[in-house]
Amino acid sequence: MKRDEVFNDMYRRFYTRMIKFFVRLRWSPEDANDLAQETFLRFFRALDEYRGDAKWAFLEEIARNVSLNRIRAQQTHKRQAQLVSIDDVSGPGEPGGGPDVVEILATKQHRERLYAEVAALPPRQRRCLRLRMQEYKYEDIARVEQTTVDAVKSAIRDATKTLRAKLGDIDALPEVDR
Amino acid sequence: MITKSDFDAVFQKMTEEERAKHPLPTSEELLAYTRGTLSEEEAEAFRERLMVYPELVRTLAEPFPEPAQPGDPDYLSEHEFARLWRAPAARGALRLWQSVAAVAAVVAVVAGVQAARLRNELVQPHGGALTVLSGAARGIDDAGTLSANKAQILYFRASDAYQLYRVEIRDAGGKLRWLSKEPLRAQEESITVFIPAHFLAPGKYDIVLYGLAGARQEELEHNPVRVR
Repeated sequence: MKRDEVFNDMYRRFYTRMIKFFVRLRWSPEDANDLAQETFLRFFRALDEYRGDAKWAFLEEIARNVSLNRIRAQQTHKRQAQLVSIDDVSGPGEPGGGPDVVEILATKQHRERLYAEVAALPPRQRRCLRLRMQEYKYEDIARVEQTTVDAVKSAIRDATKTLRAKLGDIDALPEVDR
Repeated sequence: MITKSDFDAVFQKMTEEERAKHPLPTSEELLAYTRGTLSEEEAEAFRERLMVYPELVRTLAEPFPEPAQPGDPDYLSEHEFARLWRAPAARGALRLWQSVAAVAAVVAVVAGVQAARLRNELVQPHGGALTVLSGAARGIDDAGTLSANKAQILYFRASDAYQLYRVEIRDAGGKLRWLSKEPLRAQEESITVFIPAHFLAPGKYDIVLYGLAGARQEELEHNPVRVR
């Protein structure tokens, strides 16, 4: 297949889905549009030099890279996001008065303890637990970790077991299906 | 009782603490990781850095789409392809780029290809060709002749002195008509900017490139263009 035919074929198959892909990465529709076009522009420019068979894998590589570059560009001048401090445990004020000081101290204390126990987990267990708590699917975590779904489940299972042993039963921890 | 909010606060604190230690991975590092060419120690260090950048985790975690098949609503017709991406125009832009690389004195080129069309401002067609008038097109034949009814892609040759750039388009009266929202980073020695076509109403414009260094910016070049 000639170069233009390859490009035509790839563009027609992937263009719409590429935009959806970028939207799923939480880019705005306008940004997703730009990113998809930029991806194909770079793909077009690099196609002559590409020698592999898996053109879609090459396109994927470019797309993820284009996203990274946009993240970097945004990061440079992005205002610091408002972060919730571990020390900031004040909730909405109670009617007729401020938050309960005893409750605040207790929350601060158990967050510090939680922090220490999470930080002490083996790195993979900590990462997998963190991503799972952020609602990532096992398959997606496995992709990030470059491991198997079973390995991810096992890591999360071990992490929850350790935390429960140290901190008691925690409802917020994910249940790992078999 | 430990809640999900407690976990969120803990992970956020970890992110805050680690962000200073772990810069955002470079393109090369990302490629090396996804290609599996890092050592196990390097890959492990990379994963730890990833955790600090949730937006990058999403970029890696999200499955890449399967190709649409003919008959699928996502599969573009030949007509749609022609409308969205005119290969001849794109090839022209590429030749233009290669010419620019060969002529060191030439620092900027305006090229045009069809921009993606969804329900945003980029879909608005606009009659008229964008023509490079002088200066930037020295030594390049037909460099400025571009097709009409499309958004524009501007290529600027990057300077060694700057990593970040800003682009402005001013009309003949000097009024600012367009400004790149975010700092632009050079890629492959070029800076690429998509300009919605409808911003370029018929008339003369000046496209200005600035190099950014901290709070300082330096005007690097002016490129007079005409839209007709």
